Amino acid sequence: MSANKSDMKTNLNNLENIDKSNPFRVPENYFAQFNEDIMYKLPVKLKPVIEPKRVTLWNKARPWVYAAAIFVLMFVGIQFYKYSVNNRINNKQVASTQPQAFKGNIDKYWSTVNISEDEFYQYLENQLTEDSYYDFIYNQIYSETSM
Amino acid sequence: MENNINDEELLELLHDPETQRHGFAQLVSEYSERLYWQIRKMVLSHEDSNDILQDVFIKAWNHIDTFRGESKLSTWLYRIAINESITFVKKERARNNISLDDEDIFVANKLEGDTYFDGDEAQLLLQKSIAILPEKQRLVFQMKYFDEMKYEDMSEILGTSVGALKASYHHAVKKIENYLSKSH
Repeated sequence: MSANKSDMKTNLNNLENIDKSNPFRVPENYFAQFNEDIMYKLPVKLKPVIEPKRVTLWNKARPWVYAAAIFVLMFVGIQFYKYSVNNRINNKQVASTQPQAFKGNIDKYWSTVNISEDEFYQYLENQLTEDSYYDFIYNQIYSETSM
Repeated sequence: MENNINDEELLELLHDPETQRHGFAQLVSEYSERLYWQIRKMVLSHEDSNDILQDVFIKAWNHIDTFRGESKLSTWLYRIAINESITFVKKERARNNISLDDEDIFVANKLEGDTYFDGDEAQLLLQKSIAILPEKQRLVFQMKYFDEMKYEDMSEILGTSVGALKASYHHAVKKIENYLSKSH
């Protein structure tokens, strides 16, 4: 008897010698019953009520306002572009009509002016006629005052 | 009832309001027994284990919509069960004003009067020795010794490194063997 007790002591000192089987029990049919019962104990989940989203006048008009704004911006942009292009062309034209000293061969002079050769000589003749007239008047006035 | 459904299929059922209850019934059937034994080893009494298991499933039901499958379903459920068990043990200890040193006597009284405990003298002694361990160490010992769970799986459930778990198990075994040797 005492030898048995001594053996038990030795065994119990070592964890590996203790029966590892499950010492706990459950009532008969416990798990099947539990699985059934728990489903009745689950709280009912209420479906979230989705309130209809209120659409304001601004929300309704917003896409149209944005579209109109884009249209206006595009229109202004195009007008501005057209204006700046025209401006550049006009500046070029003004620059080309400015009198510039003729550089190059004199024989090609008449090909660069916008009046014909006849018109030019007519202009010189007129100038000479007018100059003679002014000279005559001038001499008349001064000769009378000096007498 | 044989269940061969995997986590992915189960989650699909659980996230569809039309099939949620059916999916949850499958989840309960799949995990109730495993979770029960995990809880029972911590709290020892069948009645307490039954109450905690109900709470675990009700919590899981209430939060299943937010579970996105970042961890395994089993890991998630084990975590809930372990948290509930530890909370219960702490509350019980505080309610009965028991220190960790007196826990073995409390456990002995509890198990000796429990009709659902069939253990012999050696098994009762082992339960008493486990009871004096801090909660986390007790948990690690039970998962490794009784359930023969891999350290990697334990690490995922308990959120502790494998190294720390090995050390914890080693300390637990030392304490238990020390208790067993002193008891004779």
